[in-house]
Amino acid sequence: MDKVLKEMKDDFENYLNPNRVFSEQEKRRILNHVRHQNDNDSKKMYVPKIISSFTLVSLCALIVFLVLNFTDAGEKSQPANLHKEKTVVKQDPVKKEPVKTLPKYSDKEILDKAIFLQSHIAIGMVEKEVIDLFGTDYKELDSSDSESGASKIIGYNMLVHDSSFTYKFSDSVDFESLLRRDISIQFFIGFTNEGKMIWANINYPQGKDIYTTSLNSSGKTTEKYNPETNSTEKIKEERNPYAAFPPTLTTEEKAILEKLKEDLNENHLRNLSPISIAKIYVEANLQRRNDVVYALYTDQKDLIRWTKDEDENIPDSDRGSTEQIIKQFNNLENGKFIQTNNNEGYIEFLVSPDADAKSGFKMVKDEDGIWNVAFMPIQ
Amino acid sequence: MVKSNTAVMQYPKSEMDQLSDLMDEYGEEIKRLAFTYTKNWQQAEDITQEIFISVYNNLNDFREQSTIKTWIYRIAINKCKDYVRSWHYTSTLLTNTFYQKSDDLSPEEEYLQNEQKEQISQLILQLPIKFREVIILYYFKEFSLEEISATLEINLNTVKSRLRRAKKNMETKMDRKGGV
Repeated sequence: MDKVLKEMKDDFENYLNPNRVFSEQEKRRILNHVRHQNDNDSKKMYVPKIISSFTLVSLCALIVFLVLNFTDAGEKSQPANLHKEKTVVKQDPVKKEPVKTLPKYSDKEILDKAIFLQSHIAIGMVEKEVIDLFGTDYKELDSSDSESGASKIIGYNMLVHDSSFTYKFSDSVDFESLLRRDISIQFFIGFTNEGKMIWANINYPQGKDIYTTSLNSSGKTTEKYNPETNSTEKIKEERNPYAAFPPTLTTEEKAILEKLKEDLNENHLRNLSPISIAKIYVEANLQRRNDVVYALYTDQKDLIRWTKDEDENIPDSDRGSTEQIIKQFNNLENGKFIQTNNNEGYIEFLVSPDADAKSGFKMVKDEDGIWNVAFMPIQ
Repeated sequence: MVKSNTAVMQYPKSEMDQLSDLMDEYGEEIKRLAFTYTKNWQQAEDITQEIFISVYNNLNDFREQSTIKTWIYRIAINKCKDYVRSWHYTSTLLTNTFYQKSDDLSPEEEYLQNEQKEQISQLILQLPIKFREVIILYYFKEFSLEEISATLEINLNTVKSRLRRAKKNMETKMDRKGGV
């Protein structure tokens, strides 16, 4: 055991943490603290001096007052014109010393920290990894109104002016505290039910602006907000090339989907392009409107693979999760429709830049002249 | 032997500069030492701050009878022990322990953890503080037995006895696990 222990100094340190744990920022924080403490101490040192000086001045003033009074008493018996005019010297009000505060972090330091955060977070990180990395000084925030899909939200206030700001959170980003640099960075993280990071949001000041870097599965965006002019400017956008998005329906396509939901009448599709119909099909799948999905399938008897009754019995679990549907049909709207004969065709599209091959979405023109979706459309 | 200190030798320097130099030289190892007591990096960070503030406040009291290293370590260890005894630490200990237990390890991670040196590192952190600190100071911080005695303010024989018992304790646990 003795021999092993002697050989494992580095192993033990690596076991604790393979990286450097004492940062320049920590050092700076300690120096700031000590400086602040010194300022307070020096103020305390001056207090007795000020008090003794004040007492001394008061004593002198009292003596002068007594002497003058004594002299006045003697002068009162003399002629009035001999009275000397007293000059009243107005003293300046005591100048207040400016309140010394702890030096705040510079924009450069804040930016460095923000860049550090951005480079160390990744969508999908588990909560434990986040806490190991950024510490336990976070506050769990109310996620009940969250529209971002997060079931848990935590917030960190970083590089704070003093510790009272560490857990200071309001309903939204605290622009005032950020602009005053009381809080240098407000960092929010949303987690899914499974405890995985679904998004992160880093807010920090630079000059008179507040920068917000948002990270989610679709990529990373940085925006600049100026509270004075209430204007927002997009600075940088890095889209995740592998991110998938649901199709964006046009107003017309949305209206037709709504009509279909009401009466399942495929005549609404008559003037639509095959790609629009395919987009409506994907959206109906995402909305779990299985009746609309079935209505969009071809009516040609020889091409029907299952009946409506059978369709109704398909469990939701077999219809794919939202994520699977989005991934499977990602980028369909940007595809190209290729008609192979009078009644058939397919939409050629690339689900992601790294896909091995293009996907095909099969469409069938029914006898009524309306394009419909083929059963099992992905080829 | 402990390396001689360079930070406070370079007089005349302001106390702030001395503190800065000391943090450059010892910041990393003191924070790591604090972690071996708290097993929590955030708490280690808080204690490290307290330690260096205390170092600064007591710079004038430093006598060169001991090296600056043993002097700083003495302050650090006392702070760590105060903290570990405090209500705050004991109230957070349960949460952290629970956290560690709920950690699911992949087979690869489990394999790595089972590596002998990692097992020993883990065992060291599980030792009672009085054993843990002598092992860490002696084997990993390169303190001599005399320096440990001076830093921990216990007599030399107690240091030897604790070292022996700490190793015995670890060997027993390793045997049970089928290790060394």
